[in-house]
Amino acid sequence: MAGAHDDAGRPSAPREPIRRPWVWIVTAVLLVGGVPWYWPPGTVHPLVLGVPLWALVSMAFTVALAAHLSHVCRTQWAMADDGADGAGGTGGTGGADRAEGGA
Amino acid sequence: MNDLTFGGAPGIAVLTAYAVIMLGIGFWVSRRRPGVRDGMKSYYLAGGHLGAVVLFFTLYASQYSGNNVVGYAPAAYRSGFTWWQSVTFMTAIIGGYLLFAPRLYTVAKREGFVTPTDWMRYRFGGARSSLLAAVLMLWALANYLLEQLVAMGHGIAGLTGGTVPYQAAVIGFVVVMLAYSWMGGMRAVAFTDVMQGIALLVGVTVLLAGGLWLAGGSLGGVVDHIIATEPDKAAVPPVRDSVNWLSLVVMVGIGAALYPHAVQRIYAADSERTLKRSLSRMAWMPLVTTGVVFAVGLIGIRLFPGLDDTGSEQLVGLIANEVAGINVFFYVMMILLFGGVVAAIVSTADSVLLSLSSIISKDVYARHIAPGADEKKAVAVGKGVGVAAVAVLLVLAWNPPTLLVNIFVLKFELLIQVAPAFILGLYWKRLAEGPVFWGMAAGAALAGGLVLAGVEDVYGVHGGLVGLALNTLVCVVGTLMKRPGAGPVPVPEVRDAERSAD
Repeated sequence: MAGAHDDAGRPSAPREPIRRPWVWIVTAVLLVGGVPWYWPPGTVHPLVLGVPLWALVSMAFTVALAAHLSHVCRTQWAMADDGADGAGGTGGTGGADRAEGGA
Repeated sequence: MNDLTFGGAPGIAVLTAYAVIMLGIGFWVSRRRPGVRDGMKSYYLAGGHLGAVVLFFTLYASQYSGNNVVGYAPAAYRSGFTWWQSVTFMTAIIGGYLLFAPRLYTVAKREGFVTPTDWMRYRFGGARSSLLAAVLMLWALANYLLEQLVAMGHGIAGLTGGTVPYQAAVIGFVVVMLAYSWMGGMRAVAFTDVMQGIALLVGVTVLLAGGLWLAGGSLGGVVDHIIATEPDKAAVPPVRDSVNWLSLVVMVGIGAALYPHAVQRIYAADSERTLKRSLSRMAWMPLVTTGVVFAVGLIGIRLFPGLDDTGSEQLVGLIANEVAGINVFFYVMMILLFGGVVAAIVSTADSVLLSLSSIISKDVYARHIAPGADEKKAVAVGKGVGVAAVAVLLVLAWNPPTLLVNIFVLKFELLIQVAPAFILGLYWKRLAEGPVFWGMAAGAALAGGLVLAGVEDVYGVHGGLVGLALNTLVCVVGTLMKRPGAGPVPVPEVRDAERSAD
């Protein structure tokens, strides 16, 4: 398998989300935090921006989850030089991936 | 949805226009790529050359069916704020992809995979685990397709205002779907998904705008009304419901990512960059699709209070009727919305049918019935069996066998049992074929048994996850009890990937 390359074109270790424990710790915190188990059942008030606070907190966790997963896709995933991958790979380069994902 | 005031001739015109466009796309693809039907990879995976825009829309349109609009708004109406979980579980699907897609994409490209079962055969060698995985996936796909056909019937009945017998209309749309799929395979399906995805997005946004207009222009007013009249729908749910919420997020997050048509879209990406960019954008789509539908359901509580379970199922149609009465713009947009809903159903159904045909072609026919058959013939057999499957499912949809009806509920519960074979199989070299097979069988039997026995959950945890826990336990303990080295076929590519990732 051809590895990813850094901006200078040097080979670098592929990045894979499964190998990054913090990715899954953050995901778990955002999933568990988004479920309102820690609020007293039956609670409606207080309202913030006209919405029950517990629901607003849950919504905020979901928005954070979307941001986190989107960020992980872009920055923690660089397995291969596209196009050197075998059948069908046509576009992009590992360098471009790297540049897109940042350091 | 059966009494749309704007149904009738305009609805028929919109459906006809959608059908013509879809057929045109199929014809265009087949003219542009004459050999598209000759090979499995070309037909079922668009040759593995889907670019970023098309891949994004085909992921989107396949994942968001008409049910995400007409089914989820009533769920929000009945449950209130706790239905926010639908937005979370649709977002969690991207987390499900991240568990396996990066490495599976790399291996699939190198090995030329066409179906999800190709991974099973490559990794575990043994025929029985591949066959069981194929059966579980075919079962889930067939049930999913059945749901789409039923939804298609309701959508078309509403939009044509009963002026066309809805069974004839469904058959008409199925023929259109088959025609463009046959002409252009995955490429045609993916290109039609672009149009279908845009129609759905625009439609639900306008429905929300119209609903808000009718509700007085403010979501805050809607929430005040809910708190004043039905405070339970704004209250923190009981702990058991919270457990159920988390359980559903995990089950859908992993299960929906493992749908065969979802896995095949990983294979079809033209590059890793394309795939991760598409998934990165997909992470935001639940907020602008399921989130919007959630808001529409809450608005329904204000506009149509007191609907029972059956009545609430008509909620989207009821709101659309009111919105269409605002002015000509909203009238036209509601016709387009329901056309979009039908298109979204078709876009999910076509992807599911193509995936089902591919498993029949490659994993059943070319593997077990006629080894050595040429690819063109295998593709033809897949198409033929696909048509037969649709015919049987249509008969079932219109004459549901009451005794068997529970069997057709099983979908995620069975599908999620292939998860250890993919996720553990990709990262744990020792994982052996025998425990994978017995784990899948035990998990499917337990999850299916719980559902058929009417046990919806165990202390709030869905039967599918209970089965998955047993499945994983069998895989892990069974593998650890085997002598190292006595395991399955070596997998050098997986080892390479692991080593390089360390």
